[in-house]
Amino acid sequence: MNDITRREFIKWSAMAAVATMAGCSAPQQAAPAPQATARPTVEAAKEWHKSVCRFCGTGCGVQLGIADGKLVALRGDPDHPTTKGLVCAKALFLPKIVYSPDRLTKPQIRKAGKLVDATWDEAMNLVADKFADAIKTAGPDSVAYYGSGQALAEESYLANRLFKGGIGTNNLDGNPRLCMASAVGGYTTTYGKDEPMGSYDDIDHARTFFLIGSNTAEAHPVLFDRILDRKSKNANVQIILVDPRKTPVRRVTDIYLDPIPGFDLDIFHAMAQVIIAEKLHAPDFITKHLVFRKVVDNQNVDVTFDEYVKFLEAFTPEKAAEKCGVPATKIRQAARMFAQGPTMSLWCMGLNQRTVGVWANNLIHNLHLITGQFGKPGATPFSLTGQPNACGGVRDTGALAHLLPYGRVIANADHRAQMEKLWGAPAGKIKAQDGLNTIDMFKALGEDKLKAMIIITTNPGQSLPNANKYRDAMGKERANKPFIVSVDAYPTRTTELADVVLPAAMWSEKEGVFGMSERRYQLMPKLISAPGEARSDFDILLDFAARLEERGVVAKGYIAGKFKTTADVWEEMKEASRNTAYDFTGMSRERMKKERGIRWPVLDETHPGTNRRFVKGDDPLLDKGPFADANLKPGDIKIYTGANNKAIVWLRPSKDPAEPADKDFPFVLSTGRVLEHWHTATMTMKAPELRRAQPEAYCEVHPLDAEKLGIKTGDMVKLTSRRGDVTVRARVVDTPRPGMVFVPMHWYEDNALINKVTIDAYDPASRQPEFKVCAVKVEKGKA
Amino acid sequence: MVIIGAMVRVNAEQHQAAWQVLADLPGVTPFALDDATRLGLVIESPSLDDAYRLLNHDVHDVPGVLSAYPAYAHFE
Ligand code: SF4
Repeated sequence: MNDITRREFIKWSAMAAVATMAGCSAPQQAAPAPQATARPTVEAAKEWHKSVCRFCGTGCGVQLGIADGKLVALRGDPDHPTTKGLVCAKALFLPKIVYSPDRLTKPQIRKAGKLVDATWDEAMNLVADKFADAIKTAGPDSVAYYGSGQALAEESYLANRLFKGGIGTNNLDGNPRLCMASAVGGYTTTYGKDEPMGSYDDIDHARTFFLIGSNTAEAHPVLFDRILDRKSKNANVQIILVDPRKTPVRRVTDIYLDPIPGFDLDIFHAMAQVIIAEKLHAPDFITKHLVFRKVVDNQNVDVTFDEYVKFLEAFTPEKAAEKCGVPATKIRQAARMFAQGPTMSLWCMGLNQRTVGVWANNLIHNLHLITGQFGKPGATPFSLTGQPNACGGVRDTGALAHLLPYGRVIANADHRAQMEKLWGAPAGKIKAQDGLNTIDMFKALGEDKLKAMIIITTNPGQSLPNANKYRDAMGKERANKPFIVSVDAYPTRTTELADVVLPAAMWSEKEGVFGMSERRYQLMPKLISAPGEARSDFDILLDFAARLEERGVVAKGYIAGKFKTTADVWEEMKEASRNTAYDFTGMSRERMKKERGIRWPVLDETHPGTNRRFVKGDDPLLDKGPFADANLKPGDIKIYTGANNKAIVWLRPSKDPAEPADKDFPFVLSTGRVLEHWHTATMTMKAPELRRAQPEAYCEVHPLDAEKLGIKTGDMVKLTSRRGDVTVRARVVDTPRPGMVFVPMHWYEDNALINKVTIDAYDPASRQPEFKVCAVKVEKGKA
Repeated sequence: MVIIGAMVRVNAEQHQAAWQVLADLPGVTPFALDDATRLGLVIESPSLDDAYRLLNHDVHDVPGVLSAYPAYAHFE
């Protein structure tokens, strides 16, 4: 250290790290500059490896510092092409979270009401016996799998293969049903297939950002910075925010629309009405690429553009203003700004977690389509995801009750036959009917219609709406109580209800792929050992499959002996994607080890990955394979997944939420996240600093409402719905709209578990529950 | 001792004012990056709790600050 102290050296390392992240060679003002090549160092780390953050769907590239086989540090990866070295504060705590002292390290079996340690053999034999017995006596549909957007892509694919093609049940669903099923429904009903056509790169080209129901600043902070970067460098960049809650995004917003929660559909129609009335639409794009459709008596009926225009007459800004509580002038301004473009829409749970989630998604696509804000740099509709692998792991592998891998659906006989062939399952093994979606699955559990369920890497004991009902379904003692297996790395509100708990390896303790929001698949290496006897979900599924084969309920050799590693499964996944709209046959494992993720479609090893789908010159599927079209010129658009290569503009009627506020329950409750915690906080509460930074649940109450109720910040408030109640501390802030209260979803203590209050009504199209709107009573409570 | 290096995104018009307020926060040293919408910070504090509070609350609350991202963390 010679002439500088160690403390100074560390400070210089910190400055150099920031400068590197910011793209500067060295800090611009300061005393003796560090070496220009200085990179962030956490001194304990002896080697660094590229990986991916474990938390949200932004999919930030990280570097993990390892010393003596232990994970000792994490830093942003400056070489990552899209997140460029940025991470948010949560990620820094991952090393602590991995080594939390309460990690589960041994299998446990419930005996006389108590979970007691067992061997893997005992636990797995019990699990396999229970499942095999159920399948033999009550048929394959008496068992179910509930998975996660946090499992590896290979794990979800393997589970899908086992349940649908091996056991013969489509009762396989996952927690993405709770967060982005409506986005899937929106993409598939509009374009024929799921997943965004644009990418994060569009942020660098957009002039208008249309953010709907997305607290990007706290839920996807690294993407939010990219938006801020774009705005700070371009004076004409504008942000429109639609959110009933003034989240931190509001600070940088140019037009803010705060609809009554659940009443925003008319705003989107009104924007379309203004766009067409003021001739801001794109007639050529409309003629070439769109059809207009409505539903009459459950039948799809195509209509003309003129009929669409007529339909929109019922949605003038003035009419929408009356219904939504947003000034008509702001709707007009937003419409004009949107049409000007290039416009990038970004949305999240505020749009998806609704009983009209799919329709709301359709209406955002409508705006892009009628204005031609599509397929050009900065012009794209883009849904954000909350989990690191909801896209690549669950949506793409088809690990939901109505899907099969890579854009295939259960309802399509050809798709079923294709997967049966690839999987080596007998013809007809995959049932023709969709399986039970999440809510119906847990309802069936409560009605003892299911006999056994395995839950992997997720915590429905806390995350399901109307939680009391479904906690009882899982855990309440009764004669025919179904058998529940929970596979997790930590004790949770779900493991406490399970009959068998299997200890799982975490992120970095296993190798596999995460696919984030922009179609980028990223390989994460195994860098450290799992604690105790914990095993990866993948190994648990292999073991489970082998035992089911031994018991005669899955064909011998269907899985056992076929796959040893996630890399083996990856080869089959690539084959499953071949000649589909998701084709990623150009992503070999070797290539993925070297690169920092690749965006599909990618047909060969030399293709760099696809920035913009459906655009000739960018999307390789327009050059080669079943969707190729030699008549297109570079830059031409062809929506090859759509109805006759066209996207659909849907005429969706206005519809209210399932449970608006009323005289008995006069407030609307919305739930969401805080910066420090993530989902059910199974991980983030393990970092004492994060726990202390947000130590307890709270309820945001608007000052006007607080005054009427006699509530001050710090008072306890009781929130009661038709389903349950919680008592948490009040924060009197003008963040929510008057008449609305907000409670974060992370706390698991009985008094604060907000999902006891939320509603399990769901969107009939996406089956996604309406976490964002339910009616509650708010009263001063007792501490 | 905890030392955190962070990048702070600021409103260009409020850059100078924000710098001043940030410099007055205990344990916080701002340094310039290459444009008017960003600045760097070194946060020194006795505990991670304090550092976290400074970064995610005190720094965020400074007028003109839009967001803050850690790039480096040293805990001992
Ligand atoms: S933005 Fe999301 S992916 Fe990126 S570091 Fe934060 S939690 Fe992780």
